[in-house]
Amino acid sequence: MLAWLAVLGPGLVAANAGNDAGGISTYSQAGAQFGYRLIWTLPVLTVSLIVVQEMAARMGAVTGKGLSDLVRENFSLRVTTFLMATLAAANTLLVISEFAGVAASTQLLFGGHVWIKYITVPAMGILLWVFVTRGSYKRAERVFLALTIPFAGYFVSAWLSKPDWGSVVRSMAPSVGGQAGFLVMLVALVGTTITPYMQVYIQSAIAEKGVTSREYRYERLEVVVGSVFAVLTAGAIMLCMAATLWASGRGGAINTAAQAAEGLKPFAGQFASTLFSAGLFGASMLAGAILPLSTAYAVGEAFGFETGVENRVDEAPVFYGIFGFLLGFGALVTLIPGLPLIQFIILAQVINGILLPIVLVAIVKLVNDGELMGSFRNGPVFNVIAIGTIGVLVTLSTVYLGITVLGIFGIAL
Amino acid sequence: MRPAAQTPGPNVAGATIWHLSDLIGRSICTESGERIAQVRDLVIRVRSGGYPPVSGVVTRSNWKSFFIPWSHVESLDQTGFHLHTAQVDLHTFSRRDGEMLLQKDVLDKQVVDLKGRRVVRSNDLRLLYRPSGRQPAAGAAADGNGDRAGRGRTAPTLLLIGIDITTPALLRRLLPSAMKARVESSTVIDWRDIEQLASESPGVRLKIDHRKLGKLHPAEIANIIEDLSSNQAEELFEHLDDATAADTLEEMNEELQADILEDMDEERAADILEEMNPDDAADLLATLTEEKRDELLRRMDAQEAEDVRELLQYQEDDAGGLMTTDYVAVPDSMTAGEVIDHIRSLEDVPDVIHYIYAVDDLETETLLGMTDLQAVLRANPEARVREFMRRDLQTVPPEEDAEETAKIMSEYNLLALPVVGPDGKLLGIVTVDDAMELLLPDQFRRQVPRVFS
Repeated sequence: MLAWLAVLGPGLVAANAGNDAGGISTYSQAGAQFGYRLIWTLPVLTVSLIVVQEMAARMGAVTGKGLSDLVRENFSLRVTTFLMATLAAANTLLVISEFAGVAASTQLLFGGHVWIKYITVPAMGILLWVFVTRGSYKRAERVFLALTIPFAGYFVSAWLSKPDWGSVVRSMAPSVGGQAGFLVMLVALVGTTITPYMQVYIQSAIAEKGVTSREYRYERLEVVVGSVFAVLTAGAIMLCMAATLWASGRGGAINTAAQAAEGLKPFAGQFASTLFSAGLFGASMLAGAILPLSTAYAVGEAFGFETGVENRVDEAPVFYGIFGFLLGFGALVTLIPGLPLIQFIILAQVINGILLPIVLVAIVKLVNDGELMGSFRNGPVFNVIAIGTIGVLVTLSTVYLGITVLGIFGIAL
Repeated sequence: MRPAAQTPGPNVAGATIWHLSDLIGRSICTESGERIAQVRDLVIRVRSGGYPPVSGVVTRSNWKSFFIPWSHVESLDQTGFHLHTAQVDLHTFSRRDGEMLLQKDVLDKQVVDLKGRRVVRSNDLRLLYRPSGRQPAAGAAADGNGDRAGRGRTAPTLLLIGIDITTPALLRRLLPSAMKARVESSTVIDWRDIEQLASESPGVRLKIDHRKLGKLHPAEIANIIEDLSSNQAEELFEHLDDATAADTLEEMNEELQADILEDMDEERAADILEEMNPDDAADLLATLTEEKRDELLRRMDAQEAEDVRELLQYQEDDAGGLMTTDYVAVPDSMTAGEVIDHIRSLEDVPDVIHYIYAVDDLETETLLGMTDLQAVLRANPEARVREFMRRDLQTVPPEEDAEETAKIMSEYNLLALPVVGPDGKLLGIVTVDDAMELLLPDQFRRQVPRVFS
């Protein structure tokens, strides 16, 4: 039990960082527009998430290195540079959306004043900088774990919304048919649940934490628990919306997490709505810390700069420079009035759609490298599952990419 | 390529400097000028000292790797590698132990920069090419390449002289060739200041003795190891001698200490623990599981293990947890001359002898007074310790709060403070270095606001 608590962190944090502001918006839309019909995807998503995160975690424990380290050492410099450039671009755009999440949620929590974001966004940016830069990995991780607590609010909100459990059970029989919008939503769910920065983060975090192959069995359990918790959260959000806005036929109006929190109020009460907003706040803060941090790790590892929160700022200037730039840039851009935030998120999704297949293929290739992984490389059975999962994910993310790009040109399916 | 500005060794006329990234992909031509292949990699043999010469070129054809020994190479210039034979019998290349591929095993990998005391990634490699010359130079024969070219001519050599860790080196590799030439990078780490990590090239068994690293200060070794992955750290520790390994461990944070010790062979771990100061060894053992702790104590030398066991009973945040059993105690009936002989004959001498404690006898160790080395040296050799020792002592019980203990030491300007049991028995001493850590202001210890702890 003690050994298990000692490894607790990277798996839970990485999986929950995937439920970011954009993710909560997507889950809200899925529930509000399609009710219970997408619930069946959740067990499938859980398995896919576990398979992908587990491989990255295993590589971190066995090699003691981050994903970017291994990419740089085993692929060409050009591939490495391309990966880092796309990852940094996508993450930068996503940081903006996280701070938008902080702005929206604090506005809801503190009485709806629009100006409140000019205080909360810079304050939270500074707070994240302080938490991450002033100490050890352990201390930073404790903050991240604390930020996952508000996610529990979604379970209470879901319960307060009184979902129709019969429908939940019936929805477990997969249904795909219907409008094209349904397919788009399905693909969006996958795209938002499994994002490249999650694999990059979990591997770097495990390497920095110093989890070894000997302790790996505990870490694996944590990856599973983290993934299950993350997808359950997504399910709770979908249930909230399904039981209220979808059931009353008003689900079409929901586009953002903040609208979802507002829309919940007449049905499940102020308390449920507040919990929903608090969850959005925690999610935005967590991803707002993890995105800049994983970018800093990735770029530093790939190009040979000192990385790690154990260092002082003057010992790892590039690492903290990237981290600080992303925090500052994200917070500042969010505060520019009238900026098309939705466009940023779409662009980030397009870049991630290009990035995810490359990252996943790289993971499978590396994790099967006997020289690197020794007896910890994928077994034949797991490999079939892994390659199958990744095949599906790559296909879906390519479809998602196609749909999003078409959408940019005004063509909707 | 520019002629070399400063190059090592004698006979440097016409020497040129090359980047590995620039050599990879160059043509290999026969005597008649026919291009037969492209360079895919360069082979060197791992050896200690000096700059390693390239011993062969690896090329690929029909999905197979072939090896051309360096002795076939006549010259190297902008048009490529020129062989002095018309025909080459290509040997299928398979790696042998101790052979290293520059592109596969060194480029883009992590190495230790001994001068900068840090872990760096090699963004490019620098090689020095010395064309064949008429004058046989003393240095060439020592390279072991022999006199292949014959008749008083020295063979051409290509030496690995350094690695480039700068960002311009990366740019040079990424930019199209027309723009490459404009990118300059000036800082190159001399290859002799580089320690390679065998675990970076898992495909081949490299025997690297890490002798160079062992010469650094333990605090610097600890800093380097903190930047390494667990596999790399394990590799380095294997090659440190027990005493250096112990000193290095003492310089690390507890968590990393425990990780490294747990990964180690138990017999070796016990040897290292014996070399550590008992208080540090006890602190480290306290973080391990009970099972592991007992196993390691069992393997340790009985006397050392006993000391550590005693210290393990105390809480970390009281004087007992802070103290060490590494002190010098003598019976108060000893003469000053005998004390000096006694210290000379000690097997385990403390790092620093802050004070010498006078006790009734070495069995019961009831503390009676103390003196210091200077007083012993200046006293009449026949004078007994009890005649010149100080009797007004500051002592603390083992339950005393650690911070309070540190405060007493700073108040009385003590280098060490004895910890005494209720029966007056000397249990250990708290030394100034351990106490200091408690008194340093928080910002020196880089702590976050303790909101979540």
